[in-house]
Amino acid sequence: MMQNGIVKRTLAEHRRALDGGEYTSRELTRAYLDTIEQREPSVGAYLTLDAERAMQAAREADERRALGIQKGALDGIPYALKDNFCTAGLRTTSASKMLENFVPPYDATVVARLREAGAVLLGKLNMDEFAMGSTNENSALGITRNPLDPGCVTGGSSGGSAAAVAAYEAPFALGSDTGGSIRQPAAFCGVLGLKPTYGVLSRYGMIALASSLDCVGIVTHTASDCAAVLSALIGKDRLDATSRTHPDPSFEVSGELPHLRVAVVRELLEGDEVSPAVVRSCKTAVELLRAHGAEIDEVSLPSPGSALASYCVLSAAEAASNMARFDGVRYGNRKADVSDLSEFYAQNRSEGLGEEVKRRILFGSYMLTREKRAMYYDRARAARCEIRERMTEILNRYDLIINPTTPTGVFKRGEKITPEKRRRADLCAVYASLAGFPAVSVPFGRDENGMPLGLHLTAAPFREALLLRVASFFEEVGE
Amino acid sequence: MTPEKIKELAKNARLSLTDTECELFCRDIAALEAMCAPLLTLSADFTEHHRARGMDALREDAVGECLTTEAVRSMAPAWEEGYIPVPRAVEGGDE
Repeated sequence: MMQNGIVKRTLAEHRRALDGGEYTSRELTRAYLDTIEQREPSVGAYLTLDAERAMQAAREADERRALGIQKGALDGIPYALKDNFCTAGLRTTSASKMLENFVPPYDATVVARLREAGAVLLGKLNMDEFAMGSTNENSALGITRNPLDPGCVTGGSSGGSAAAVAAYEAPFALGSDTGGSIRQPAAFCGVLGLKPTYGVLSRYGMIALASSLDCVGIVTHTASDCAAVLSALIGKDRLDATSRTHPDPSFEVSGELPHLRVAVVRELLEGDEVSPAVVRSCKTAVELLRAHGAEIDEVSLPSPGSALASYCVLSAAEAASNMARFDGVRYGNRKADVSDLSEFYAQNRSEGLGEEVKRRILFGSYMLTREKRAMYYDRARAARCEIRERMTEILNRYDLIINPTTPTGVFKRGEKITPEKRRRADLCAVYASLAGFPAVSVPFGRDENGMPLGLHLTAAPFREALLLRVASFFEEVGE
Repeated sequence: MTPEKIKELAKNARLSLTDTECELFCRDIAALEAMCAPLLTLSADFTEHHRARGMDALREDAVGECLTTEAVRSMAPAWEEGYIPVPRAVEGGDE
């Protein structure tokens, strides 16, 4: 049995060890499965384990390696997936009773690409139901605890992805990010989370929440690991009309930090909603960049209140529309003893969907009524345009926008938080989502209780390489 | 927001709610609407300005070729008298 210490290695270290014969993919996969077995009772990141097929895929990778064949940089390396990516023959639940027994007949494009690259799928990860939430407490199928403090939430909605990586139950994980769902749990669990430019990663086979905002995201321990995964996933996909070719697909994170012009968002470092520890941590990071020669200026964005409102209205309206497909007719929760079609739909949906999902469907439907559409929905779209325009202006003059990932530290599990307050956890992350720009959360600083905080970096479209290079700088300088 | 309005929204969204749920969502949706109040400070001109500038689109909405009947037919699992047969959604009822 391999020492579990190997699960703490980076992807590049795994690759070198596999190439050099230090250990095999089977031994590496087994080490992660052993860690899962040890840690799952206290973490609960996985909804479905696929150990048998993982070992088979690892065996095939070892056989290829023995013949001198390599599929790519991730060949033989394990990973895990948020449970809203379709996986052929492996249940995909979106952490909902509605899809508790749903087994897709096809793979999401990102899953197919990782399979093609030789990566080994360990299993599917917990999440807030249909990606609606920011604590992972909205899962209908299990509880996930923060590996750094089981009394705290993981954040969400990709809480299982962040927890699995933080607990070394997978070296990397994929999740989805609509309004911070990768970046916020990454911050709370002390790992790195990237939301690429909208359209850079195909969403084909990813269960939709809000289609104009949804992105596939990556959770890793290091910027270099993230770059390796991103490289394996990019590429236009004819199955996703929004997917785009990346014009600069080289994600080198090493080398000198370039001269940077950095914009600090004034509104996200003031006000009662932002905790003193968060402000302190972000200001320390800014001073570190200044000490390394960066030019720093304060900038202003449209008010956080209107950004959050815009996100809240648009995401709920799109969610209400996307969720209409879950009616139990072709798949999902199905009530058999009803003869009236309307009642059949209503019962399937009411039984299968959880409270937060219903809340957002109702709010989204309300925002799309004739009475409210012009009042809120049209204005939310215009506010989004204003944000995109303002961020474009800023990023024409600066390389980066820097702000905290979250306004506060991690929440306690079971803490009574109103739906309104929960939405405020997205405050710092929604700007990049609304603009469609790439953003990364890198661990930096600690809250009042010693739990990790995230530093949030946003760049112009397709500048993921710069984001990862600066994230790497913060890894090097530490906290 | 009233329980009656919530029931109407629920019906349109194909949800059936208990009275407790109605009460809860009535309160929550009113609170969420209040949270969205900053949008009300934006003028109609502001909305129109962005619409007119074409900022409200991510890419060109170009007209493409439509699918032909033959193309649709070739994708259908079966074809009967000009229609695509599908399984019944609800068992029983009128034939």
